[in-house]
Amino acid sequence: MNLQKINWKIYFKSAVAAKPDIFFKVFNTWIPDSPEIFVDVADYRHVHDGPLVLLAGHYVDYALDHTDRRLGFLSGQKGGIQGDLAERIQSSLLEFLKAAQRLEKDPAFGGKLDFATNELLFIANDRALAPNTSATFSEIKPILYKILSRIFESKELNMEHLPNPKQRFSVKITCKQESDLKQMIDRLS
Amino acid sequence: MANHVDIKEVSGSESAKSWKKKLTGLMPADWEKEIDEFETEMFLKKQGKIEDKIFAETRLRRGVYGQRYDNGKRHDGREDRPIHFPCGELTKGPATVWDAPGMQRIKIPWGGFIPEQMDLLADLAEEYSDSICHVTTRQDIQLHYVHIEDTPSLFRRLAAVGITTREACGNSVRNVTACPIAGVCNEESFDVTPYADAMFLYALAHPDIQDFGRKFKIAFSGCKNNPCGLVTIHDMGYIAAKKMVNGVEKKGFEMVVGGGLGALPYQAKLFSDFIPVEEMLPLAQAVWRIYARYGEKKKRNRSRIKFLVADWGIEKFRQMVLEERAKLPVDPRWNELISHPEKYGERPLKDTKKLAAVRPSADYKQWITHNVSPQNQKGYYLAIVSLPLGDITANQLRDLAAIARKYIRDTVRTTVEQNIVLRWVAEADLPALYDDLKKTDLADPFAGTIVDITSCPGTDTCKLGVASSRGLAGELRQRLVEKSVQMNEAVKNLHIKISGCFNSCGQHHVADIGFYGISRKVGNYVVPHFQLMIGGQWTENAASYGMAVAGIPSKNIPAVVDRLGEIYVKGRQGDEKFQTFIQRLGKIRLKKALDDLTVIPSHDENPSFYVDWGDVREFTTSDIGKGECAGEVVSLVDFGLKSADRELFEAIVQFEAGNLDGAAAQAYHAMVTAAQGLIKGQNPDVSNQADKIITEFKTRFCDTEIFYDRFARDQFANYLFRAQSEGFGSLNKEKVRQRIEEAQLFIDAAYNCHARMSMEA
Ligand code: SF4
Repeated sequence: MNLQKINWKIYFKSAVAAKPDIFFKVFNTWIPDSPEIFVDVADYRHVHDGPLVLLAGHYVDYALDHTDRRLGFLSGQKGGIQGDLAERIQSSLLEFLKAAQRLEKDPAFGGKLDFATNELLFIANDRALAPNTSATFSEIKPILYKILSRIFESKELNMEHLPNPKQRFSVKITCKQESDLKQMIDRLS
Repeated sequence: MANHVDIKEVSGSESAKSWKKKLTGLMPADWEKEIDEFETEMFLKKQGKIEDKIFAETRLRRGVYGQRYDNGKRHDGREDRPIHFPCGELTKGPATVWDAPGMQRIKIPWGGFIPEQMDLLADLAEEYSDSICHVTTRQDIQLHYVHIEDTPSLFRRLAAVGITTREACGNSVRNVTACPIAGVCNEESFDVTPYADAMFLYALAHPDIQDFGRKFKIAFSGCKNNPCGLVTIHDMGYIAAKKMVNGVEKKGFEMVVGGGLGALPYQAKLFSDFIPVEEMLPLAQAVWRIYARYGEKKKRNRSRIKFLVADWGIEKFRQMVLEERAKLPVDPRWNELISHPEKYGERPLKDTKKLAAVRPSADYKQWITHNVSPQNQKGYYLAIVSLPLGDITANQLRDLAAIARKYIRDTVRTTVEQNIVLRWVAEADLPALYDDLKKTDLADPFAGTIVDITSCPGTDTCKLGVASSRGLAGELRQRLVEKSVQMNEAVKNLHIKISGCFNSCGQHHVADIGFYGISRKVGNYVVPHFQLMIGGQWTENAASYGMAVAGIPSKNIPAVVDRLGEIYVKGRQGDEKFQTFIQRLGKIRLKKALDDLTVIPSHDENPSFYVDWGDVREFTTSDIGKGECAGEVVSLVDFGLKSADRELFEAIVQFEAGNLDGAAAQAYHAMVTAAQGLIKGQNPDVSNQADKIITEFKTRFCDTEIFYDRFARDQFANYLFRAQSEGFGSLNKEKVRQRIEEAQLFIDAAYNCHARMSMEA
């Protein structure tokens, strides 16, 4: 499966510091100051159950996201990732965690941005290549398990396939303990 | 051979190939063919085989539109910074980088869509865009940040649920709009839906609309008094009317032509106070032919039909159209397309039941007051879903589709006020519908009020935007929502419309309070402003346009809106309408009352005035690009030659696949298409039959020696004639290869001939 469109989402422990106006400012600073190709920042604070602030890029979009009424940080890889499926999933996750860490360190949030690192959401953003079926889950689960057990060090990792046929193929990943982002990145690098 | 290519690359990514395979045969054959052709043209563009100008118009006619920063630069508040897209020099139009994300416009004829289509639009927004669907002021849906490589899959998926993007942009007949409450309205003469749909179907890919100098917009309205159709701001408009003819009541239309907003707004002129429905399509065809023939093609800013009507006067225009009408060969589709209006009749999902006594909440009461109105059919109601800035997320759209299935089945429409209407809601269902809408945050009780602001994309995504219309609309909306409970009803009922520049896509001329983006230079700074337009008439199908009052710094606009409300409430006499009040007050007094709000503080005093709404960068106008609103004017000859290129490429693909007969036929046909393209420059009505085309080509281009090469003389023309006599069965491989090579030379000669003729003209 040559899946290229891969989304990851991580939630916040508390929404207090995850203010859309701060994300808007911070994302704007990322456009000129990043090696990635970013194009623009879109403000969607007026809608619900979707992105609130979106940094649109060529290979990847990032968003402060309120889809399913849960506030989190979302990345959407759009293409250009090398390697086999496992390598692509792994590199998209690594890039995502690094972006989360970059946010965490941004002085605009005053050190208060607090990710709930014991939960992740994986979305295959391509209904042709990854229909939301148990067959897709059977194919992707061992790959995800291998990667995620590295970053969570197998601390009672749980993977739940979200089978709503109207939605994209998604897996909710939880583990018992939290890790900090740096550790997760180190374990995956 | 020059065109030797790896055909495996044509269908793009594995995902794109998968959609193509899955959906083949599941859409109308002509739509499928057009999408395949577009995919091939994309491929040829990447090979450098199609000119920028031609490819730009080709993609625009598929609704694939440029977006801000697609020239590969973005100003960061200090300087222009390059965006290093990986495509390098590859472009998809003049100064438009291939990889730059773009806007995809999706036509929704007369705003009508069904839950299956809503679900799909939600899916597409997630997979190819940013999970937002945007409803436009012309009832379309737009997706942003779409990569051109994804568009063939997007088209196929849309086509499989009955939606085409063909002619969503470009110099063509755009989406045909109509009252969103047609068929259920208390005041309409009759339901215009079947006729709006007939117009959409008739115009789609019609040969007579392929040579326009600019876009052409058509609207339908069920009555004259209400604003739902905004007919008079359109290039051509139809208002339903009935007339007694020989003692029999006939359905027909008041027909208007030559309206339009933009920098120079024109009210449409009355073409006829009554045309019977049977004359609707023939007259439209005659208008198109006159516009294509006599409309301005070189000066883009004079190319809309409104200028032709104004220059000629409506009497001469009418006479020319009627003469053309008389000459038209009868087209059976004129009547076929309107012969079954009953097909469009809607049935409610639920029986009517009286509403049980409920104790309504204040929010519910507000929603009922502003968003709900009774239909013409007793016991049924319309419920407007008010969308902030016309936006709805993918999940919300899917939820709305589920709500539609639950209460009304498939009677959903978009509106020109960028909202969505649910029709045929049974009275007893209103409280439950409200609860369901509220759960998905779609029950804002502001439809048709001052909060329900219309806005074009402005600087957010439009290349021509001067100021941030969406940023301002979002800010005003938020402030007005907070004030709405206490707000005077007269103020609450005003309409605000905002455009990012004078082009007026936000329809600022037809609002009580309109704004369009401008800029002012102060010392070394440029300051975002909006021009205030007052007194536009929204009712009577937008019967009169607002006038400019003053340029106001963007950051003072909320204060201006408050001030206008206060002046109106204080000075209003009885039930006086806003327009009447403004006329009585006079522009001079009004301007004086706003004078203090036109002052710009110095940068040191208040730097926020130098940053636009919805932005953090210091304001600049250096990001403004060249608009793609109607693309370049690409002649019928250009299009014909481009089609010949594509057909020849398809011949090569067949040759490589071992289909020799198919390749020979396709190469021959490519030459015929090139010849037809050349003829179209002189005779747009050229036949589609190969033999007739070749005869006409001989007369026009060979007997006159126009086609002849200086050195090769008639050699290239002879390739065509020989292919005609040889046919295309049982040629050996060598012969077919030769045919393809000759076809290439013939097409090259056709390009040269066209270039020579253009230089001589
Ligand atoms: S009015 Fe101007 S800014 Fe707005 S969409 Fe039209 S061209 Fe763009």
